Amino acid sequence: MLFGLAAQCANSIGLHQWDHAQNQTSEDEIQERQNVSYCLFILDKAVCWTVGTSPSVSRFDVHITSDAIRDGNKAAIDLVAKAKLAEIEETIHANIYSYKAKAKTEEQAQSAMSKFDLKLQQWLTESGIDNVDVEHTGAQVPPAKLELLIAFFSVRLLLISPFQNHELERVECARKCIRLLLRLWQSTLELGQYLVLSQ
Amino acid sequence: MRLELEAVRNPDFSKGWQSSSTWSFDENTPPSPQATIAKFRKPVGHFLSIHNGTSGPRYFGPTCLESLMHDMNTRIIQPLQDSRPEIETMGAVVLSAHHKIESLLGRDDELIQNKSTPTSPPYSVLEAMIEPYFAAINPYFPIWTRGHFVQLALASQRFEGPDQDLAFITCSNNLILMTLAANSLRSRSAQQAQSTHKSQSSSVDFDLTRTFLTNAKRAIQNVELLLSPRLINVQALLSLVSHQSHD
Repeated sequence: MLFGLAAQCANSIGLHQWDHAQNQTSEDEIQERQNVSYCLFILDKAVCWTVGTSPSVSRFDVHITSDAIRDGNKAAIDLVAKAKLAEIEETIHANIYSYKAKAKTEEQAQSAMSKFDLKLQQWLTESGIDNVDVEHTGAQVPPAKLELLIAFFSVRLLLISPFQNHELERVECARKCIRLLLRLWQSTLELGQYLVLSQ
Repeated sequence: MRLELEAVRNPDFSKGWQSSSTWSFDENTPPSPQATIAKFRKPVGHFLSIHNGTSGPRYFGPTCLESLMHDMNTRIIQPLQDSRPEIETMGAVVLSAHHKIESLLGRDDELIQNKSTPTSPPYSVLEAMIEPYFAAINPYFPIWTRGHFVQLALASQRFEGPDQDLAFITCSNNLILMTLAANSLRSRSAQQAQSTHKSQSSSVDFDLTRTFLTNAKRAIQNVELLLSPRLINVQALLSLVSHQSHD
């Protein structure tokens, strides 16, 4: 309920119209509004999965772009990556979990999974983490990349969980997710990563 | 009769039948793709009674922890409780995990008895937390920008009193709370890595955190005061949601 109020309050100030507010506000305020817009969009999907409601912030209302990132800001790049993953999460929810999600034949289920697998693979490549060897636990992977990988496998698990025929794949995906979480916990973590873990 | 049964199983089938004027009733005609039984339906959640029993059953979606625990109980725990002795060890491990997760669900949020509004955290504490928060935590979830937050903090210090901005009080309280929570997790990780016993510092951390937790709960109970159309209100509400998910 608290999140719904935040989303309504955001709509009342045109938060997601940050790119249209350029003549009226400073560059710093635009950056702040963009950040809050993306945080709201990302948290919306997390709330959707944990509470069991439909998304409150539609991907059609949020403008996700890397264009406004200044000076190759790594944190901003990661935030955009998380927002793009949240877009994929929303489409998975609409197609598989929502009230109007249609029942699927075997063929339709395979087609849906292939479509989303392709989107997830594209996201992995754009985020620069498709070359990480998940099985090689000795390799040093930056915590920020581990965080994105955990998010990737979590979303993949949400995609394949409802399809009973993919039992082995589901178990393997869950194992990778847990192994990555343990690696993140055991690595030399920056303070901010602990909030990721608690999520 | 056969066609009626198909309609019950697959609602889309009946829609196709109504719109088609050339539908054949010949049993030798191969079944159309629409006649294939749809095996995969959307996951459904559960109506479950909540622990304090003060209201009726609540609906929990299929990906909620409560739903997952219910499914775990039905599909894994119950069969294990009827299990053969040779898999008792595995059953004990699973039961232990189940109880630990259930204890998380059974934890009720204490309500604040009076409806007092949140109090402004000590400026010295806020000042000490700003740097570590914006250096290490905000980049992962940038609710605020450092420049604007510091501006607001300095302004609030100049105007101490009953009319302080409730939204900024909530923001500053939750900034401190998030930093304390992250510090607490990091020290716990360090203790586990060194295989040391729980030190007394964990209870000190808890006492320190409890004050700010209570303040955050006051903000939630007075949430109607944070609904006017302002960016700072959105940030305050977002930080409360973020706090709830980390609690």
